[in-house]
Amino acid sequence: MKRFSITPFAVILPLVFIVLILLGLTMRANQGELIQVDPQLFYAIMTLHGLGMAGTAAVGGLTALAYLLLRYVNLNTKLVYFLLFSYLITVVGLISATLLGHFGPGWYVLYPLPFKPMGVWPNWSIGLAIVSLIVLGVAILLIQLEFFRACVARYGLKNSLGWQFFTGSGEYVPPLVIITVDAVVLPGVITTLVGAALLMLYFVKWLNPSTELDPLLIKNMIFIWGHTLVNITMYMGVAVVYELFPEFSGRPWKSNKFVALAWNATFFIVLLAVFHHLYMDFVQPLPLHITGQTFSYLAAVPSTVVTVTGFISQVYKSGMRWSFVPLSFFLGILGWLIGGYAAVIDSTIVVNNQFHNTLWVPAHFHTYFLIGFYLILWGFLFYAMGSKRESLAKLGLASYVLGGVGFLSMFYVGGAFGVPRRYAEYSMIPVESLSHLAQILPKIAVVFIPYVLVGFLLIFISILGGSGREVQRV
Amino acid sequence: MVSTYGALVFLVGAVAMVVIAAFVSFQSTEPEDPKSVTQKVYRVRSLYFFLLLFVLVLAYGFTLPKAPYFRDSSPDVVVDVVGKMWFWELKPVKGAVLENGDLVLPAGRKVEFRVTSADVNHGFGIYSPDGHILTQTQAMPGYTNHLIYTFKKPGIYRVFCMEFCGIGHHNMFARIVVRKEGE
Repeated sequence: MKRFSITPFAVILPLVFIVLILLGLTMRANQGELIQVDPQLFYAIMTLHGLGMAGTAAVGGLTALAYLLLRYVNLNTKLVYFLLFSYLITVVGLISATLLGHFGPGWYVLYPLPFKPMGVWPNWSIGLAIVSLIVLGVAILLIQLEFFRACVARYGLKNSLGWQFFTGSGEYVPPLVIITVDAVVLPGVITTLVGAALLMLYFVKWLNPSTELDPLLIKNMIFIWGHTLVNITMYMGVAVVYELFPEFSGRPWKSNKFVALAWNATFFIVLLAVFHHLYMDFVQPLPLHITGQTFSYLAAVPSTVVTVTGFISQVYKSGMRWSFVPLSFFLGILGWLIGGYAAVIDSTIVVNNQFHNTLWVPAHFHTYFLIGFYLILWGFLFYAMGSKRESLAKLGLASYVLGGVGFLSMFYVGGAFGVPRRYAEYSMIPVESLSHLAQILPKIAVVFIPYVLVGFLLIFISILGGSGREVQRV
Repeated sequence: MVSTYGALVFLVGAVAMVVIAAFVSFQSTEPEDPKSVTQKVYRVRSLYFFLLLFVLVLAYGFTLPKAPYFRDSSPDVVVDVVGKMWFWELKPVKGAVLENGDLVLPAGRKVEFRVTSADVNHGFGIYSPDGHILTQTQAMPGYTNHLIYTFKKPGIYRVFCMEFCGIGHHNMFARIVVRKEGE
C-alpha cells in the first residue's frame, strides 16, 4: 500500500482559496465604489479570480478522488503530487501574468481578446498565461488517464463503467465511486484534449500573430473545455459524497442499474449541454441551440432522480449524528442543486435572451461553487486530515453559509433586474435607476463576504487540527 | 418580463428545495429500518420522475418556439450594427435615421439589427428606458447575427455591451430614440 499524504493539499488549496476570496471582495468593493481600483487592475483581478477558482476546484476534486480511489485501486501517487506541483507553477504563472502584467481578458479568454490588449497587457503576459494553463492542463489530463487506467486494471472496462447491469453478465459490481469516477473522467479526458488543442492554437497565434483563427469555432472549443471541466468538477464532489456519506449515515450506498444508467447518461449530457453558452450567437447552427436546451434540461433528470433521492434515502430517519463532514456534504449538495436549478432556468433560450451575461450568471455558478462544491471539498479535507475540531468547524460553517447566502442573494437580485456582469464600475450606466441598484448591491454583498472569509478561516484552522488519516484499503 | 418570471420560478423552486432539505434533515433524528425508508423513497421517486418529465416537456414546448431565432424576418426597418473597442456604430439602412449621433426608429415597426464586430466579441444588449434588458445578441468578428425586435413604446432606449471586451467594456453604450411613427 502506497502512502499518500493529504496535508500539502489541505494547506495549499485553502490558502489559494483565501487569496481568491480577497480578490472577489476587492472586485465587489470597487463595483460598490467603496474603494477605487484601476480598470486595468480590476479586469486582471477578475481574470485571476475566475481562472483560480475554476482551477483550484478542479485540482481539489481530483485530489479528493485520488484519495478515495486509493482505497480500491493501485494509483500512481506521484502523479497526484505532480498535479499539485503543476498547479503551483500555474498559480505563480497566472499571478505574474495578471497582477504584474495586467493580463485581463477574463477567465474564458474569448478569442481574439487575449491578442488585442490595446496596450494594457504586454506580449510576455499572454505567452506566460498560455504556458501556465498548458502546464496545469497536462497534469489534469495525466491524472484523469491514470484514474481510468487504474480502475480498468482492477475492475475491467465494462465493470468500471457499470455496463454489467445492462449486459446481464452478473459480473463483479464495483463500488459506486468507481462508476462515478469513470463517468466523469471520460468526458474530462475529451474536454481536456479540446482544451489542449485550443491552447496550442493560442500558442501558435502568440508565436505568429499573423495566424487567424475562427472566432466561432474557438468559442465552441472554449466552452466545450471550460463548461465541461466545471461540470465534471461538480460531479467529482458528488462522487466524494457517494463514497463518504454512508460512513456517517450508517447506510450503504450501493451501485445499481439506475445509478449506472444515470452516470452513463451524464457522460453525454455534460458534453452536449455545452451549447447553451452560445445561444446568443445566432449564427451557430440551429440544431446546436436546440441540443443545448434539450440536454441542459435532461441534466436535471439523473442529478435529481438518482442522486437526490439516493441522498434522501441516506438521511431520512437514519438516526445519524450531524458532525461537520456530513453537514458540509448535505449543505454542499443543496447548494449544488440550487445553483444547478438556476442554471437550468438560464439554459432556456428565451430566458437566456435576457439573463445572458447579467449577474444571474455569477449568481448560479457562485452558488454551486461557493456553497456547493467547495463545501464538499472542505468536508472532505476535514475528513481526510482526521480533524476532531468539530465545534470550531461547525461555527465556521454557520458563518460561511450565512455569509454565502447573503453574498449570493445580491447576485440573484442583480440578475433578475438585468444588471450586466463584468463591469469594473457601474457609475457609467446611463439609466440612473439601474446604475443606482447596480452600485447598492455590491455594497450589501461586501457586508456578507467577511462572514464567508472568517467562517472559512475557522474551517481551515479546524482542518489543520488533524494530522492526516491513513487511506484504508478496501 | 421573461427575466422576472425566470427569477420567480427560481425563487419558488429554491425555497421548496430548502424546505424539503430541512424536513428531511429534521426527520433524521428518529431511526427507521433502511429497507422501509428505501421503499418510501422509491415510491416518491417514481412519482417525481414523471412529474419532472412532465414539467420539463411543458417548459420545453412552451419556451422553445419563442426563441429569438424563430422571429419573422421580414423587417420594416434595417440597421447595421458594428461593435468596436469601445463604442457602437449604428448605421441606418432602411426606415431609420441618425440624429445627433442617436439612432432614431419608429415605434411598432419590426426592426432587424445586423450585428457584427470590427475587433473582439461584444454583446449587443437593448435596455428599455426604465433600465430593463429586452433582448440581446453577440457581436462577433467575421459573423453577422440578425436580431429582430419591435419597439412597442416610444422612448430613449440604451445599448449596453453584454460581452466582456477589455478595459472599456463598462463604458460602451449607445442611444436609440424610438418615436411614434410620423413624429
